[in-house]
Amino acid sequence: MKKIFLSLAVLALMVGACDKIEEGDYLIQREGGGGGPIGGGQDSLHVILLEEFTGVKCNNCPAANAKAKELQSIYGSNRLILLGIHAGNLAQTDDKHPKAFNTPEGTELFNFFNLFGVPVGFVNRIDYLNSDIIKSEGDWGSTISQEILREPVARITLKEESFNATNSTLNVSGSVATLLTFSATNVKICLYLAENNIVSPQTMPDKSVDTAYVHNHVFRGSFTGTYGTTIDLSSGSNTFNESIVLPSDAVKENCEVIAFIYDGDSYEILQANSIEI
Amino acid sequence: MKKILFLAFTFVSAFSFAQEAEKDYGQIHGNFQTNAQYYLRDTIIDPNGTAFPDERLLAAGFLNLTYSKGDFMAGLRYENYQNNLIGLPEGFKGEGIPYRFIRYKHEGLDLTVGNYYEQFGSGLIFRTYEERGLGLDNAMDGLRLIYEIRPGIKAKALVGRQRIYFETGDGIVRGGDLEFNLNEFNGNSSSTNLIVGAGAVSRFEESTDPIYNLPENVAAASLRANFISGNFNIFGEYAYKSQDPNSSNRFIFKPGHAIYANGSYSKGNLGIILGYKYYDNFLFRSERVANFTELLINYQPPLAELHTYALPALYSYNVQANGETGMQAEIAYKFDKGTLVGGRYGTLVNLNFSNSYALDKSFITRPGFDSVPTISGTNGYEDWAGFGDIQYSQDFNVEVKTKINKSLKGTFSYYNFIYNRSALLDGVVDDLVSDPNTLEIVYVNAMVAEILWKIKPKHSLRSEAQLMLTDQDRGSWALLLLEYSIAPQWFFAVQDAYNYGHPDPDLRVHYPLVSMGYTRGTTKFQFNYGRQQEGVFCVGGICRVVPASNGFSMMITTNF
Amino acid sequence: MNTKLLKTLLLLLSLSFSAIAQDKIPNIQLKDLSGNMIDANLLENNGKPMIISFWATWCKPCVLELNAINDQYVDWQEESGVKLIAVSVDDSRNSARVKPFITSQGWDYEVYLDENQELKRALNVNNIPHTFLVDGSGEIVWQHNGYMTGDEDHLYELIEKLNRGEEISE
Repeated sequence: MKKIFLSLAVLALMVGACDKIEEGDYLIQREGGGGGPIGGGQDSLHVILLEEFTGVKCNNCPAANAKAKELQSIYGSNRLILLGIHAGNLAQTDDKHPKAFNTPEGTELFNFFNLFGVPVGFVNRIDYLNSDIIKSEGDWGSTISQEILREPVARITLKEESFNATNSTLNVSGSVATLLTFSATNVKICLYLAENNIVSPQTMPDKSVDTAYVHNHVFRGSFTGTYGTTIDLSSGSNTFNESIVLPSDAVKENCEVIAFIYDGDSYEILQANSIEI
Repeated sequence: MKKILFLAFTFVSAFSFAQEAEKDYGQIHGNFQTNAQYYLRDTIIDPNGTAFPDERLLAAGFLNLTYSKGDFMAGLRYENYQNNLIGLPEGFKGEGIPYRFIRYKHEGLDLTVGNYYEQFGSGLIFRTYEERGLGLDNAMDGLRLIYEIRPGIKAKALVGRQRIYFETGDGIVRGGDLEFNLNEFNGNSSSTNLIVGAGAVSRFEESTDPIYNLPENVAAASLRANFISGNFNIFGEYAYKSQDPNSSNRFIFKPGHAIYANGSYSKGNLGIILGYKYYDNFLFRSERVANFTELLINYQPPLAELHTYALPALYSYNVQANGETGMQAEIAYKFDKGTLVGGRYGTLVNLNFSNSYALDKSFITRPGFDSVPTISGTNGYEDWAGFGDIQYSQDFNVEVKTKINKSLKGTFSYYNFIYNRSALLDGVVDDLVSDPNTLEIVYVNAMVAEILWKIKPKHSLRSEAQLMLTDQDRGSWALLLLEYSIAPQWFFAVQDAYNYGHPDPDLRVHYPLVSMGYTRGTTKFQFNYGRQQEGVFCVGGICRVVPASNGFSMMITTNF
Repeated sequence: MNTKLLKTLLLLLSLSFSAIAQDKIPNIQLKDLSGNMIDANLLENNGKPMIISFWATWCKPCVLELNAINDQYVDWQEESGVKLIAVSVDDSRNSARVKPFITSQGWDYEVYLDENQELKRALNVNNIPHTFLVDGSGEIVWQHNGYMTGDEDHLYELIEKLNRGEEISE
């Protein structure tokens, strides 16, 4: 009889082993009420790039995109850079979706990292080596909250050098300087072009098509190829100067340039920065 | 790699001993299966080549070994995916030993260390199992203790983490179950019996989410009773789950409820079953953000008939992660031989009806980011919602089985389905549906005639004629199958499925398939060549399409 | 590397197993249709042969096989004393259907439930139907995967062989 009571007690403990969150506490309250940007400037901070894989025919993607924007509102656009990469078979044009924004580079990333569906994302491309690079929407928040605590290892500056309107060529320059915490040896730099405020049809959660949907942070192409170019940082710093021809339908004023360096062995992004053009 | 060799040699050497000496050194058994498919580029069913793998040849296989001696049992499974076949989870990649265990069983004690599969009651709060066809394996890795406190009272306790591909999930799963069996308690085996049980499972997973205050410990508990008396059998289970915001329920904070009940009556030639299900926010995983069939802690029985004929199976039902309710009724009756319906040999008639509805949820929303309303971070909706407006499915089918003469047997069936394609295949979850009329509902009428002709001893011909009529989705289909077998070794089959009613005339194509099989002892070889039609696999709010394919496939299975 | 390893492993195994004879049903619990738990290793048939057949209500070839045997079961029992034990691997989705199902099919078999496939796994059964033949001393002497019409005749030949005291070497 004793044993039965013991077992029942164990069961009761198990049921008791759950956390009760009160109704007013579901959301984490941020200081200042609204949840504005936290932290300081680029110089002293580790910046995160959230690469969000998406598609115009993906009905679950608008919610994921809203989540990304919400996270950016929490951490600030100086700490969390968003990039929407349209790729996979839900990023194809059809009668209802005249634009799909897929790019050869985006498709290459999609295939290289073995993605099989959208929406998913990479947070600084961490966890490649332990096969956990693909993060679903629900995972972005907690991954970013951990990643953002890391010490910065380098500093990237970015500057628009020139824009030739006749051949739509954009030239960007900048520099990378390592900090004491820097340890990677095989480093590559990538410059990606993103465009904001594109109004184009998108399939919504209820499978209807929203023709007035505003796409932001859309990946439009790379200055440096999909995987970037090697940058030698053995002396502690280096500079770069790269050019890109804007896609014919891109609006220059809506574009931004994202620069990041990553460890060529683990694919992990070490630091990132972005500027609006 | 060393580990594999070491284990293999332990097994082998343990066994080699067994043959040298008369003494019992235990026995070793195992099974082995491998599937390989060579894909051909088919521009009709897959114009863009999206489902054509770069590898061209894909192969997956496994080897199970079990060693047992007296009260001890140990086993392992080596798995190999180079790479996994199209349509199955791509997370299974590479090779390794994801499953190994040692088990000791003595009198009332049963202890397992390593991997194990276990189920509490009907599985509503806990079930770990393996379903290769779905690419599902959520085996626990940890400890399990089963102890018979006294005859009729059994306790189970377990702890561990679950398998996800070649890793284990982050969440720690702990569980306990207590079952009382009246007959065993009284030491008799009367035909009247009462079994009652109670179980609880909890999961711990860290949270650092910046938006939601997520509970790190989530618990589920259930009570169940099964009363059996002669021809009657009544089973019921109620389960409760504490707040578990996760990506499948879109981060809502209401607790979950589940009821699964059924009653049956069987006497003489008659069998009757009635079943009821109510699943509200009851998907339970050991990681909040797992997808598809990953890291499922529990099992929600679908309570719908599982169809196996190829065409009706295209509209198979799967449980909706964000809640549903429904019922099932079935009557089976065997008309005796010599009666009007029974004919000369007797006729079996089986009627089955089942349905499923979304819950009637009044959603609670809050202004989310950019003031877009969202249910995430609220209770979601009220507790104990009733039958909703959205119908997920209805299945009515009749099967008649009869023997026509000494060498002919026939099975004739009719199916009528109402199938919510938007929810079941496209993964449109009910809280996003503003107008139920926009959902794509498929109405299906299908019939199948299967005739088995025993030509002469050991030679037989089995044929299936299937017709499925619908104006929606991919339109109507017809299928014909002929299978000639020479027992106990050979079979040859040809099949053609014709999607003649496809709305797109270019896709009104034939899916021919030839196959043959050879069995020798416990080893079976099977080869297929041809086109396979597209199917869809959905869990939660996300779906995976199992694309149409064309090619040559092979399966070898053996056990020893 | 791995295919090589696997091959070596298989070779070693096939060498070691070729002469195996000591095969008993493992000590795993099954549930009867009244909810009583039975140890599978205690299943017996008074020194007569026993067939153990793994099946499920949704498995067409399984039902075909059990129906084919059922047509002759009375004769088999009278002539050879054989007993068939049908182990259903239906999970909780379908386990409630098992009793009404067998009743309406009119089967006279001893039926047990293996709800989470424990015995199936312990006996290394890949796919169902899978049939074992157990001799009078409780040893598994033969097993077969799959079903084709006519397989039951072969099975019965083996049962007769067992009753004549002959070895089964397949």
